[in-house]
Amino acid sequence: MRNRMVNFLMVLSLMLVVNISHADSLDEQDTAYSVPGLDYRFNVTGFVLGQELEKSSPTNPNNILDIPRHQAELNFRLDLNYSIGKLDLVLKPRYEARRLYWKDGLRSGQNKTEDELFVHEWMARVHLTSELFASLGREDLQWGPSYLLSPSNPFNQSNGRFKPNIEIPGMDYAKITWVPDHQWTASLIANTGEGRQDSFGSFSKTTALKVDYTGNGYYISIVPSHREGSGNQLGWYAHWSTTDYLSLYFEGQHKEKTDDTDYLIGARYTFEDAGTITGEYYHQDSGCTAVQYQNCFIPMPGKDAHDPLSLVRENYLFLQYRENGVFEGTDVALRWIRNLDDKSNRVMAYFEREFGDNTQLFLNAEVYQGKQFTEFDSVLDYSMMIGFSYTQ
Amino acid sequence: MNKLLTKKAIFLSAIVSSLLIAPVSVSAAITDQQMLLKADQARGNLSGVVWNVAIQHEANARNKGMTLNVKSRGFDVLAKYLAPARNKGNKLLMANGNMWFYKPSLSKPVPISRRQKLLGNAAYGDIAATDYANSYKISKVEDTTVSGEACKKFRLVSNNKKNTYDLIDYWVSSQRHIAVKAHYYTVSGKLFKTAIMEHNNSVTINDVSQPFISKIVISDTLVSKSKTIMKFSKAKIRKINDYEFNVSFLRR
Repeated sequence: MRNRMVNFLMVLSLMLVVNISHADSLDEQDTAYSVPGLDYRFNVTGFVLGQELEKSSPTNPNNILDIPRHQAELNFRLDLNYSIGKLDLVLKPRYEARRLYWKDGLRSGQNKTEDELFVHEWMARVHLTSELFASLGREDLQWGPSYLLSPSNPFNQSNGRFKPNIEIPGMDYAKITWVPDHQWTASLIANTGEGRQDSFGSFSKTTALKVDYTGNGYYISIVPSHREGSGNQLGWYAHWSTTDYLSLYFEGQHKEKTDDTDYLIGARYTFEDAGTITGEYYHQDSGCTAVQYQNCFIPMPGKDAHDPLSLVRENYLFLQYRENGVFEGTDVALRWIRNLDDKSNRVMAYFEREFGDNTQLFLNAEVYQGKQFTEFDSVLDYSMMIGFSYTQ
Repeated sequence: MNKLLTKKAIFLSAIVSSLLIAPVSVSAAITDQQMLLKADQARGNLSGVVWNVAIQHEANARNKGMTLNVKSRGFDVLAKYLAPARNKGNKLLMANGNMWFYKPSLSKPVPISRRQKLLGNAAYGDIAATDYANSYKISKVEDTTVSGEACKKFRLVSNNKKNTYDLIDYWVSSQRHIAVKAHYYTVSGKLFKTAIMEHNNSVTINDVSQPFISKIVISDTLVSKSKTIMKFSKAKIRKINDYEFNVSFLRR
């Protein structure tokens, strides 16, 4: 553990030694970005997490999912961006140390300390022309206007909004992107490996063509793709700012093999005092209709198995209220997911407050509610995360 | 012969005179719409410009600030947060009337509204170039003065629902053709916030120097007496490629 920490600190020190000089005046500060060169961000995030497991859960009997009761974690995150000529390089090494404590299941009463040094994301991008780009790397590739999840994304639909301070592991991609003008973009994307993402089931290579059009106050995208062993699917999304305060959006996908269509309809309203309310309805044809939630994971002939880490039922409602700068420096987000099929609920409150130029404190509280055998009451009762983020 | 020379002399002198007085005549003949367009150009509506914006908010004896590096082309804007350090890596993109915000803890850029709060009284839309010449209709014009300077006061009514403000009173210098003051109103007609502009910067376009925005002081009149000051660095004219305003490139 000590050696890994030393290695990470050596990389950090080297980066600080070659760092470009700091400019103080307003006129000089833009040189940090306008001159091609090194740009960095160093962040330390620490948190403690406590979570109460659902008693006698049929989905997690005797805590077979091995969920710890308490967790303390310290993450060192370094983002390096370097541009030289027609080459852009990105490297995001991470060092994570954590201590876990179990109170349920086979490991009840046990502690464990572990650490990990790894590359979270990296990328090498070549500007073939001013309009054509080729890149290779590992990243969490996300798009679209939706909050709950991104059904148009054939690689990874989860966007991690319910744990904003935990990074989503990246996957390996090769991309060619063409930007012919300020309205059209076409990207050929090959997902070549699962990277650090722990895919549900076995990993299958996926290739997608993403075509985007940005119009005046709206944008639309279509994403035809092919996954080895699963056939073709077509994803799409569209976002329309009807006014400066109300926007509507639509996102979905159709799977050719199973003839299933998943779609999400959303609306966002920004109040004059700057708070924003968002509402989304999500439907998936392939959603599980079994009466008891735990039966959703029994393999069925001709059907893809459900991923227990994603939404598995047919119909969901999502509501969010978000406001920045409340009480002069606190950002607040309140989120609620309602499973419309089994009537269970997941509610989250997130607070983030700034302290000085470098530090933010955050609190993330989640409550899971529902009757027995429902989705959101199947594993956890509640969880609470308190932490800090220091950025240099 | 003498008559012919006299006629020629009169004709030449008329041409010379017309050339000499031409700039004055053009200046005097500028239409209200052209005056708004020139005021827009002094706020960033150019083919490619890079600057820094320092924003300071003063309220209840607590001061807060941030600094952004802004690339602007027409009405498209890419802003990167330079300070404070906790906001490093945050970005703001406005392209074709759409706006996104990204920060390193988000897995993807999120769409936002231009009316959302940036800092203090400044909204995200306030760092973008104005397009009052095309997005607003002039409902009334008055000749007036601001701090002793002759100005035209325009009452501007939004001509589309995508504008941040529905109604604006806008004072433009009659001689310099730059905005000096603005009052912004809510839909219900209440005075929402006021702005005082200074143009002590300049940019050179086609070898002609023209004034450019250097400071905006935004005061909140509805809720509190707080004040937000936006200071603009010297603007640099620069070619900016299409991909820099592309949301797919916002994460890095």
